[in-house]
Amino acid sequence: MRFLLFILLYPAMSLTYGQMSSSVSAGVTLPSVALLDIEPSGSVSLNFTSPSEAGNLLGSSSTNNSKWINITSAVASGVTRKITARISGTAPVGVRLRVSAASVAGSGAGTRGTPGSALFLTTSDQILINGIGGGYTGTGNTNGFNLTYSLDIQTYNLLKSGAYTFSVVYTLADN
Amino acid sequence: MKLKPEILKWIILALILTFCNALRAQSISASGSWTPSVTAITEAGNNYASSTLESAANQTLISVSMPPQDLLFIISFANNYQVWVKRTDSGPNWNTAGLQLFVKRTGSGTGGGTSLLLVPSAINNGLTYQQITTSDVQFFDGYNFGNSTRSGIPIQYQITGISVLVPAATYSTTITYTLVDN
Repeated sequence: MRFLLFILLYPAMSLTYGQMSSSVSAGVTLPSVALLDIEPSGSVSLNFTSPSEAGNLLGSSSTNNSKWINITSAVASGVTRKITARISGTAPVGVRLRVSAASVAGSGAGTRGTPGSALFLTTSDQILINGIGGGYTGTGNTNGFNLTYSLDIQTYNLLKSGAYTFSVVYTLADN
Repeated sequence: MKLKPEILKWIILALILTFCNALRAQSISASGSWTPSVTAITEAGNNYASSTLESAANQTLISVSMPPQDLLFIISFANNYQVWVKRTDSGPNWNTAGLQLFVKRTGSGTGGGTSLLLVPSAINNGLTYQQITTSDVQFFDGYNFGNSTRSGIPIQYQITGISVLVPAATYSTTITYTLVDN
């Protein structure tokens, strides 16, 4: 009887352990990234040329295209971003600051957005570049979006001679 | 020749023991998960400094036990096995997003037993990175002797495709190692 019991139990005991597969987990989080920089550092100077003859208009504004916008953007699926621009500080009355961005150039890759039309900047945010997704432009003053600044006389009778300093604020934000 | 019932009984018992021993289920155990962090980008215009993340060489340790193939517990035969690997994503699909997960074996671990003639157990293949897909692929193989377990087999991982072009998200997956009696 003991012999038979052993025979019956042994297979059951033998099969009570064992595992055909085993698992571990792996994962990585890629965060949302929104970085913007203006290169090279330093300010931009613009001026009007004085007329050489009484009765003439002011000459055209100088232009400046020394500045570049560099960005790095990582977004969740389906999210797009924009770059807005506005004036911070007190701009001279009777004059408008015009800015435009060229199409992205240089190194980098990804969905880096498309510049819109030139803007006359105000103290309110306006969209300069839109449709930015995941991408990066490269760094420095040959990569990204080349900016062109110029001045435009809006109201002659409000003009006052002098030097004026104000800032332009660029913001990279979700749509 | 007619065997005595008592002898016949013990022969049957020995055969059953041998048979049942072979029926013992194989076992695999993996421990050590991996959740690395990317290095933050500090300057606008840059991508991540490296598109690759690599784990410690012994991020996961695997142990493999096989049912002994022996005769009356005296003579052990090599019991061959294969280890297969696959991943099961939870959340975004890694490959669709542009990420790839690779695995390799960086050592042999210890144990696995020896034969009666002192032939050692062995473990083969899996020493170069291979991609872990959502389908089982053969990873490494080997053979043990007797009841011995080969333990501490070190496993290393690599993630490639790290970029700001990849949608921002948490990418998680379960890596499953399956032991196949070969």
